[in-house]
Amino acid sequence: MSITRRDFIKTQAALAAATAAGTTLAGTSVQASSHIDDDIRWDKGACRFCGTGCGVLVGTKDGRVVATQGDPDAPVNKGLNCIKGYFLSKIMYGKDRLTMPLLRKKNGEFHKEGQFEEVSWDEAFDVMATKWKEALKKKGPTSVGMFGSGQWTVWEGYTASKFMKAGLRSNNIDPNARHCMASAVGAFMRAFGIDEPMGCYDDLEHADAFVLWGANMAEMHPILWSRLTDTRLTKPGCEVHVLSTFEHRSFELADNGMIFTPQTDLAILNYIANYIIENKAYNEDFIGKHVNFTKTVTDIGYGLRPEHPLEKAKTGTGGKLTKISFEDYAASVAEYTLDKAHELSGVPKDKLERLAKLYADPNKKISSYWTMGFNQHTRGVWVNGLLYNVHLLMGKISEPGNSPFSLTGQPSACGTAREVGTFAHRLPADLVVMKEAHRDYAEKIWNLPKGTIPPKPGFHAVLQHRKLKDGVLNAYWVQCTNNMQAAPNMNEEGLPGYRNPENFIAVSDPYPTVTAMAADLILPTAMWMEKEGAYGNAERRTQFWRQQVDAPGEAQSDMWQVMEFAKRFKIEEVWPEELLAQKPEHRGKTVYEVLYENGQVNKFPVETITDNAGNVYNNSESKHFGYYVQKGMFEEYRMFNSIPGVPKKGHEMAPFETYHNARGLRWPVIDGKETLWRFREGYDPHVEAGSEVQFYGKPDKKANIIFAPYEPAAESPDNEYDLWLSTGRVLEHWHSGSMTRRVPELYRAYPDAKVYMHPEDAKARGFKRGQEVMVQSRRGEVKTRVETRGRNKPPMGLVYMPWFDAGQLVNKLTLDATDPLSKETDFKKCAVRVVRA
Amino acid sequence: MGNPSQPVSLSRRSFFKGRVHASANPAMRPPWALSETQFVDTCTTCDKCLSACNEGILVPGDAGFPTVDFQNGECTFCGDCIKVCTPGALSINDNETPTPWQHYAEIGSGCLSANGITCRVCGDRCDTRAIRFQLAVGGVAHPILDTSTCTGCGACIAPCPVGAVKIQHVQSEEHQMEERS
Amino acid sequence: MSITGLVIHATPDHTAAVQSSIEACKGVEVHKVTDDGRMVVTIDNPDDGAAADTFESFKDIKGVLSTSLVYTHFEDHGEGEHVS
Repeated sequence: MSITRRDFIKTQAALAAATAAGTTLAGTSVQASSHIDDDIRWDKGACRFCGTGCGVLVGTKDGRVVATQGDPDAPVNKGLNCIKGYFLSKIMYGKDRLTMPLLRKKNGEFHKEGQFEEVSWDEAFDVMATKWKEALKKKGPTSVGMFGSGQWTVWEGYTASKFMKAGLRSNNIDPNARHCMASAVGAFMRAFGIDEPMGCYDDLEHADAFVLWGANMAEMHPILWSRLTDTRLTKPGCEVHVLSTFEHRSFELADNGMIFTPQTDLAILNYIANYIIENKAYNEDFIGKHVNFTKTVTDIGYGLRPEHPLEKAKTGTGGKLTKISFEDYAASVAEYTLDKAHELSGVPKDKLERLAKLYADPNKKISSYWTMGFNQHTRGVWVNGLLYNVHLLMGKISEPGNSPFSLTGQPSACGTAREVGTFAHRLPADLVVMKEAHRDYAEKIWNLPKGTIPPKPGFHAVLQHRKLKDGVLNAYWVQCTNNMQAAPNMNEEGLPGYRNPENFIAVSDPYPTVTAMAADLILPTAMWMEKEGAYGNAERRTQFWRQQVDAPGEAQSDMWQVMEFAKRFKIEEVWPEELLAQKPEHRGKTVYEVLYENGQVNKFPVETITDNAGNVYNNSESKHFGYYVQKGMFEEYRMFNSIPGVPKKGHEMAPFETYHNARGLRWPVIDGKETLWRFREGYDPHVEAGSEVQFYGKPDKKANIIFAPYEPAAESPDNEYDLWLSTGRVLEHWHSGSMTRRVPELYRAYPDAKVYMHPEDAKARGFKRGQEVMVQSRRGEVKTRVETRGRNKPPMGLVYMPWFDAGQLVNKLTLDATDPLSKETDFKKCAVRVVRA
Repeated sequence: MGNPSQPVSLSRRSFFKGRVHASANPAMRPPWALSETQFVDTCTTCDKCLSACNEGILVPGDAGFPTVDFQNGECTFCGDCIKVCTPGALSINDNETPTPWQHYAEIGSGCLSANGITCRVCGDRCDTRAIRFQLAVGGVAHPILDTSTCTGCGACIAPCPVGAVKIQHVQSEEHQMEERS
Repeated sequence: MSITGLVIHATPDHTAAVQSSIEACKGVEVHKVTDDGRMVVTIDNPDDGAAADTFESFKDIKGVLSTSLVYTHFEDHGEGEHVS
């Protein structure tokens, strides 16, 4: 064996160790890879999958992405990666990749019941524009709608939102983040008046203890879990508490693991607040200076259709807050004793008390994490808020290690869905359509007549499906998401809506997903590295990448599609005369010209895009439209967050170029510096000297502690349907499996969904492990197999089933009960039974 | 017999296992097969075991003798192949060893976990929990294979996304000494 | 021969002492020490049994919080050593 080979192996060993240690060895990382194949061009990028936002190095050879690896220089993951990220290079190359528009046709013409046939972009957009114009003419702007994504790039979301809200004057645009993050958003706005977490991932190293509330980080955020594990194993006295309705992989690290009855997290959190108050452990100085006490309206229903008995029975509506005193608040939580919390939740008293003591210990820095367990909850906004209550009572917030932190599921749920305003009620940078001052500001930036943007929020995700079914929403465009598979109660709402003969449904996707196949027109989409992109992760980090390869066939990016479609509308076709009269210069123009050739978006000429090594990259959209589109969109968006006098401060971002040279930056970015902890003096430049803490999203700079009680779930098991069903994800598959199931290695690793069940529950029903069974709810049934071992161990009375499998559509079972405040569905609780197949 | 001028063998060993020796892999026979020499003498290549195997992991190998292909699935040790083996090439009673076979799974250095990538597919498939994942500093849990509880069922072989799990034949020191002499 | 990559985490006040103790072992190289006491270490040893012993012995050094094995590479010299 030669010395060189031995040294090479040693370098590999040292590199692997360095990666695991969270460090890098100077000058070896990328070289080690290029050492193997010198022809691969490596460039930085962001992972396509979850909200963690790992940096990946993307290797391209002969116009094809051939390899990816964890980026050792990325602060988020420091070279680590998960199994999905490892196989990223394969997601664009599934055998059934769409390369041409497909339209349902019979005898050469569009027909709702026809078969899909290949058509040109021209024909596709001609038919689509005709249908949209018909709807607009007949019923006005509320009859058209769009459903977008937290997987859109930042500028794709911005482009679409502007097209719908300003161009077509319809607020009927909502992202799939509605199913994912809406409850977190609602709670941020109510408690702090500004969206997104105050802390950052650095808290994973600073905290003394971690509490997981409805988050299985070990599987769903494995890289953050790596960092948490590391702290747990190396910091003396560090402890981990895990709460869930079933046992999962994160329990392996739990010092205090707690399985609670679904919905009783509300009671547990109120018990902790009660414990803190009873033991006078609260931070009196902090709550005196920085907190208001309030209570919310109760008994608000379950966001079902108005004729549902549960909606008729409710006595309250909405989320109005009433100011109360500290004493009122203390009296409200007083009924949540240890006994009561234990009775409702089923968690042993010693475990509950240990958790309460941890939060009440003034010397422990605590980071709390949650994902879908909190957000997909008919009281999602409430339960998010109850956790803020606990952190605020103790003053454990906005400083290193003390961090209530909402994790996100999608790669740009924050950066796109939330920040650029793709929700039915939002405008860029936390502005909302309901406020005249906010609409005025947006219209000014966009050079539009006053009154262009409608003041009424549009249809949210679940309502869109209901309105499609009812024939109220007739022209509908879905981009970058597989909502037929993802949305609840598909049998009774989603599918009838898409197939309603009055409606025309277009779906843009790289693959023939369940959603695409239910549509009338499928548009082939350029994905991930086939376009220049930007994502914003859960810690407010905005990350850019360059276009690495060209899209196959005639596939085009979502942004290209929206901009081209906008060319099909004359402004006179979508705006009334009173608007045109205000801005006569817009007369005779297309929507495209008014929105995108407005002297701002088209301000920057096409550039030759290079990296530091001098490699040259394509930019398909810029080439097509004749200006640097991504830069134009981003810089116009920056006028909402970064110029003096913006209505909502605290969202500042750096100029476009900065991001191409950085491994992401966490906003607010002020004087080139990112902000790690918001609202705390010394970390956040927006906080005035001498004030310690300012929650400046609120006019009085104080956060809200909001009392909300325990209220039961919309549907609970009974004699007929005797089990709770919780749905969720698995490590190997993301985003409905539309990409990951097309990677052979990931498919083999976790091929089909199964129903996880307690062995005693299986035995009582006479099931053997692996047996085929039917899971049935009042709304539908799904055939699957029983799993009594493996990564998830549900308690008796609850089953867990992942939803990634297009062959086992678990959302035929779920109930479309939503949080009445956030409109987010509770995918974690409905009643089912399991019978022999 | 070692010959340093030969190209190096890339067979890996279980790090914690110590002195277990692995032979270059011979053909893998169905469970409870007689020793290789006896097996080849006894088996009539009637192929009955192939069709008896519900899992479909038995395939014809060299000269038509049945071999196991774990890419098709795992052995459930149901014994159906033994029941149909009239010549007795597969037999529990006539076997020198009580165990179905002399091999166990081995996780090679290509394992994703050894390269900073979170993946726990093999551990998930292991019914006897012979593959466990140990949390480690640096965060990526590492697989630990307990060869004493590994049944060699092969369930972990096909799902491994990088093909890092292999079957390793075991022979005791004594056995090896005998054969060598 | 075997080559092993591992991470040793020492308490920050013992880092220097730990480093010199482990460097004294045969075949051990410390490639990097981070501020918080993590060391990137390789063990290069002709005999893998000895490497395992070396690795085990690190755990007894004062100030070592944890050791974790990250990478192992084994090679056997020639097939003839084994019965086929």
